[in-house]
Amino acid sequence: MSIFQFPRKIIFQRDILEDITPTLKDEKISSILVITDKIVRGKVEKKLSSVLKNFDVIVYDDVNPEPEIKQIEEVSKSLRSNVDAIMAMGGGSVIDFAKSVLIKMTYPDKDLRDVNPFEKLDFRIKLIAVPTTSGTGSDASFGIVLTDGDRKLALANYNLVPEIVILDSSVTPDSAKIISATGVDALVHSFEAIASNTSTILTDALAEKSIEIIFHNLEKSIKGNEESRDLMHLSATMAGIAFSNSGTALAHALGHSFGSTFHIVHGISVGLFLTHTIEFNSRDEAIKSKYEKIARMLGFSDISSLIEGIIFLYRKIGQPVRIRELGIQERDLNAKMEELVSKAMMDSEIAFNPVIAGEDDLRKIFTDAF
Amino acid sequence: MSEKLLFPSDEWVNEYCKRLKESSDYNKAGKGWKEPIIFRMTEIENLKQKPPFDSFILYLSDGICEKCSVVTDPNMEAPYKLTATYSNWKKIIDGKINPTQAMLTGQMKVEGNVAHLLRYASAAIAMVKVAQSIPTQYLE
Repeated sequence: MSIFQFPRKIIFQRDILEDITPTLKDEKISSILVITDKIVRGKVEKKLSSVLKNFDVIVYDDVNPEPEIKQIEEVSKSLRSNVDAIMAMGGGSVIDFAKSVLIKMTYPDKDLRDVNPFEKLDFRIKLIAVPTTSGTGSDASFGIVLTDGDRKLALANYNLVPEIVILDSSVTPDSAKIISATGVDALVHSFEAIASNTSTILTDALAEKSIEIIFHNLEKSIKGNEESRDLMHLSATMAGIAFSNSGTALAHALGHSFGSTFHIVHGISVGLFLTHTIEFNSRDEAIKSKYEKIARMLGFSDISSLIEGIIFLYRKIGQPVRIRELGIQERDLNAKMEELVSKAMMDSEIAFNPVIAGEDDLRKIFTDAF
Repeated sequence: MSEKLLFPSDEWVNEYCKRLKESSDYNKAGKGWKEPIIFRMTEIENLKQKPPFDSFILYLSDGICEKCSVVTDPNMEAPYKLTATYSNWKKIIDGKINPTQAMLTGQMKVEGNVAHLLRYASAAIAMVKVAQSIPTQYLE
């Protein structure tokens, strides 16, 4: 038996946010806590003003990238909890922040570090996700990634999948850096969903299609092509549904560890390890066949060509291929090696990797990735 | 070893502990885990053949199974307890359900610090692979 969890409703259309009032009213929503960041607020406030005037709205716009547990705990105490819905409008950090606030509002005494997939969380408040990047997939996933001191925590609970997702690519950024990093994140989600030891034909179908769309549209999206941005926005959510129902794997365990140690943006960080984990996981014949199928789908002859193709895409979109391109010195990487390996071994995502990785394997990958 | 070992039995549990010690995958993935785990079977009254016991304990430390024993005292406690019906244990050992999925769907109940356990889910996968390597006969 597999249990698949999806958002109850996904609305996908460019500029749909301006017409979202009937949808929200149909959901019996009259009061909304909007959680966002200052940049997104500045971009969408005018677009949304005619919508939000129909509701009793509070706005919290002080979310920072890579949200900290400590900040969430403090902020949750001060926010009004008698709302019908929380609308998370922003990238992965904003959506994860909103999911965490939802937990703390409903269960004030719960330690966020204890969130796990085995418990039932009962939320009275509806969670609406409006992702403004394409994307972390947090809008469709059961996961939250939070910062706890110097480490990243990947937490999950099936009741955290947002009920309603509004995909309006008109609110996605024009910044090449952001489009590249979030697009790479979606690409890695898709590859990892396929490799995961709990993958199914359903998650494979979503992930394969996402890979195809991202490969052909990420560069065009950076160059401003509207249709490509629309497709990227939907495929990032598809990748989110895929990994939420199959897990991510080794690239995320490595990326979380590396990102928290060297303060590197998530998408860039996990992207550094994708090709290395494809090589590592190809030891498993079943996964090797899956990668070969992806290679053929993209027009490559074999896994080596697929890896070269990924590197070629990275070069076109400005994604670093090697750790050294981030300006990190080899001696600094070596000085942090044991910390990197230890964090990665403790990351719950490593459990979904099809090939069991030990400390020596991780050391080698971190070294090879330099 | 060609002769099948009955699950559960003293012989099966001892063989399991021995193979865990010898498994490089488990040695790697279990490093850092220092807690004993009780494995418990339920719904055994439905079986035609009565099993000799319904629980056993493995003393695991840093990727090594140091020792194992049958649990004879029903009140025995351990920091972690994994409970599933006999039928679901069979499915897990046979690879029909992934242990992570079994935990997520409630087919295997977990008692203990779940957040800590989740970090060692790859060790659980390695443990299942070891269990699968034992020629096993099941009760009907």
